[in-house]
Amino acid sequence: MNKPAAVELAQVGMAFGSCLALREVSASIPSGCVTGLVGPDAAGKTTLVRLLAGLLRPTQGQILVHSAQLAAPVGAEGQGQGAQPPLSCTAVQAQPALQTAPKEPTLGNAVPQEAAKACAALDVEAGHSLCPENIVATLPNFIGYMPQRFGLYEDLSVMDNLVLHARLRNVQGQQRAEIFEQLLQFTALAPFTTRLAGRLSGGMKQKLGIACALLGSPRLLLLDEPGVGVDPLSRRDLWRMVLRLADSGMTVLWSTAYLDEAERCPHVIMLDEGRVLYEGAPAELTRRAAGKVFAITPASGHKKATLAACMHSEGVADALIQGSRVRVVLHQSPAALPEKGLCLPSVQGVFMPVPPRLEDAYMLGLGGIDRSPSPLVEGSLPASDKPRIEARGLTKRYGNFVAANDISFSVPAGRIFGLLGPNGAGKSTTFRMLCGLSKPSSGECFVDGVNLLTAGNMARARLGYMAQKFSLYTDIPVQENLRIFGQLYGLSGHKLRQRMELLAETLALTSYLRQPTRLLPLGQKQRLALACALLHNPAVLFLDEPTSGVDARTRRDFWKHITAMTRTGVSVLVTTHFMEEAEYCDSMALVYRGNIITTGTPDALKAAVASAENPDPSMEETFIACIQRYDEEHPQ
Amino acid sequence: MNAALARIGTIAIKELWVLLANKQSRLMLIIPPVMQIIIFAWAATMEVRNVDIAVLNEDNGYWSRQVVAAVQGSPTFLPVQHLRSEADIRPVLDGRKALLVLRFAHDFSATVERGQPAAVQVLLDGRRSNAAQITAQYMNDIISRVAATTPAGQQGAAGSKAAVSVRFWFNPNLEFRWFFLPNLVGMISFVLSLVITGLSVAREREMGTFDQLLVSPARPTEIAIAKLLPGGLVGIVHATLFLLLIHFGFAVPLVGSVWLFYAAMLLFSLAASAMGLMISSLCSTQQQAFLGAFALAVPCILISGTITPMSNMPLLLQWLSALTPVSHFLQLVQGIFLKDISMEAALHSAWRIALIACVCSIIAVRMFKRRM
Repeated sequence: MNKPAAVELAQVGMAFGSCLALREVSASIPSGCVTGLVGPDAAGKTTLVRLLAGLLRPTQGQILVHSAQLAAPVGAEGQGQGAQPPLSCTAVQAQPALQTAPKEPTLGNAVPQEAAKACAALDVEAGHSLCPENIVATLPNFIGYMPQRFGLYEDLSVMDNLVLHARLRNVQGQQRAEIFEQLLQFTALAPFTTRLAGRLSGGMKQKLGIACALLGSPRLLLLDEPGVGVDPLSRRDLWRMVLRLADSGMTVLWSTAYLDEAERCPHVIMLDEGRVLYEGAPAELTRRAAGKVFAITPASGHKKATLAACMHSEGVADALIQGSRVRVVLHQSPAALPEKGLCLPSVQGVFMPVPPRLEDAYMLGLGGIDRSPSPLVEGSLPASDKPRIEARGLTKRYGNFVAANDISFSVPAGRIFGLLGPNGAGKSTTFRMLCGLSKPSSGECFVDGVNLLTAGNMARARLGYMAQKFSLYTDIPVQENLRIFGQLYGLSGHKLRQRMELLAETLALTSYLRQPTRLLPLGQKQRLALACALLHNPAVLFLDEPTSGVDARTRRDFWKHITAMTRTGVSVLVTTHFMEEAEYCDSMALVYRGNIITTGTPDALKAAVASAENPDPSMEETFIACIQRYDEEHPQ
Repeated sequence: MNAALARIGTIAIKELWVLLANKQSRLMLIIPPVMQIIIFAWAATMEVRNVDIAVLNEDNGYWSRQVVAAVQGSPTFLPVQHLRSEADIRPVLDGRKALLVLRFAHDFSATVERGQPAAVQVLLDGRRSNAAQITAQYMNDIISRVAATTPAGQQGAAGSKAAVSVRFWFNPNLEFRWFFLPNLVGMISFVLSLVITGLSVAREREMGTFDQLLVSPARPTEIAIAKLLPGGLVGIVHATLFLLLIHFGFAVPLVGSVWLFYAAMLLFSLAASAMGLMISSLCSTQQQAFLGAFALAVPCILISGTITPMSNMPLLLQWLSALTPVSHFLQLVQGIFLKDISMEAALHSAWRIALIACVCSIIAVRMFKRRM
């Protein structure tokens, strides 16, 4: 990375009361490219972004924004304008159209006159640097910020939201019309200007959020987890959008829990517990895992058993399912090639070295997974040859709109069934019908053989539910939440206490039991939600994006427990946007435009889209290929 | 059945936990009602007390001093300010230093002694018309009392002139607080129960916890019943608070049974909660629920007769007010405080409140189910 630094952090510390969110963070954000900010939950990512946006003042150290570097358009250099003084606003205005994609609209060339005046008023000389607060005070449009929970007004239309933000940014008249046109085209939101922001799909909301952040034609764009809750297709769109912005000279900070996103950034800053764990090119970090990553083809076809064996073995930093194989990351590269599993005696299978990914290095950097076995394998449900979950022709209509059309599938005991699909495809509607939160317009569904429509109360007693959004009582202590949900499902006395203790211990909640629930970090909140869903030993588990916004380490833990439970006969219905997690499913259905467009095991789905150019597609590629194929076959 | 009761109990306890978990909401339950009672009792009074009065006594004879002494002796008036000349009158009234000025002509006592009609001039500040009117009435009473002791007055009394004596039952001294404070009980409890329950469902919808309840074995009816109980409990706590404040603090007599008062408060709070539940079953956000609660509460209170007498309202409103639990509760609570209400009369109001509670709850449960 030889681009000059646009922002420099020197020994930045941030304390909230006695809690240190950031400690001595020193890093730099290069100008004119996308910098990835990664780290587990509560690592301090959001705090850092808020500091950069000038919303907080660091308690230690300082942040310098080199406005000169930001203002000089990178793309302009080749056109002989690089010789201009660094913070010449005319240079910004005269910024040439995007070089990489000349036909596409650029956003950098619409710096408002107001900002130009402010630039002059600021009298910033070359190389002059300011802290974010000063920048915000003098050049309010210089920094664009999209918070984690986007600042959109859900009851206003797309256009109203844009107009509102434009007014706030003092973007008016002809200039406003131009920038709106560009933004709408850029985000592909033009057909939806009259739609209420609350009715947009997750991906579209994020695009609108970015569009609002772009209204003042900022030079520094801060995005706090724009990818959370967004399906792979929309994420790919978002990524392309941001890449184009960076190509046009904008400096972008992209905070994320998805390591595949970070891997694509030319520069990453990795935080853990408020400290910088790594800063630099992701490839550099990935290299640290070289020689330590292997794909194991299980000897006896039981990939889940192999996975469990790997997860409990000494020296393993990470293990997950990938297609029919198990991917392991070892703490130390083995002395000899462990073809016969020499380094992992309890694992039977063929070992093959594979190239490392950023996530492998990340897991190594954080110290690897928790290897203790899940205690949830104990006990077993009465065997049953009836399917645990059965959907028969489930249909939901809202007026003329069919949100879910003739959805049918069944899940046998002990299996994990994945419901995948883009945002707004009908996945949530289907999910809500299956757990009794929404009445189907037609069709039936059964949970553990009990009809949910006629004996809802009995059927509901057999299912455990974990909502996408954390939905427990936040003001009361953690243990009261457990107690309330236990009692609601008819547990009491000794049995309730026993279950509460077991689950609190299993999910590492014991030390939090007396705390008010709202104080839990996000990862712990998700654990508590899972604990509440498991208290009554449900036969069927409904998990709606259980790991959304949760870091890789906690995700591994979740799946360890979930796969452990399936061995006792529990069936799981799960929705997820992490395509990698879809690999844990025994079978899955892809929901798109209200229909199940394809269903089968992960391997079967992959095989169906495999081609000569791409013989071994990833789950994400499979997902996108299936949707594209459906779009071609069923034009709207 | 037992399982259902256990679930209702669990959710009700959960409601109390959520209601009482943080300090702000605990204080919100206690401080505002107490403040309201105290402020209303002192501020929103229609009685006239502490009236500023000035006297211009050009006579200074026995009878004029008698009248001034009678005024001094009345708790209604502050100590008399004495004026020196006619020129002092205008600034005193203009500057609101006195609500009224009494002026005795120089021959006042002499005229009285002669047994002839004598006039006292009473000058009132017409800008404060309500207080002025009431004060003029008081003044009239005082002067007539003094007049009765004059030679001419005594002669008149010995004659056939009959004096009208009015006796007000239940509130013999027409103490305004006796009437208004029990009314306030209804108003405050109504708004609080309505809002507490109304917001609780909407809050759960916003937080997503309502879904978590709906996927549990609890049925919508069970959830609704459990949601009403904390409202009732809050009503009972408030009953104690109000009883202490009103009866012991402001010395409003409690003629009827304390237990009947508690029972009435419980029933009324449940009905108000049921109305809150009905509102929140129609709303999806707390904001909507809050506005809805107010849109319902204000007209309900206005037409209930809490503030203005119901007999002055158009017939349609009188008929509508029978649909609010507040008007029935007023009958009950005034009956309990001021006249030992008969069981028959109490039940007459009580069953109407219960009916309103049931209808609202049924609508709420219907709406919960329909929105699924």
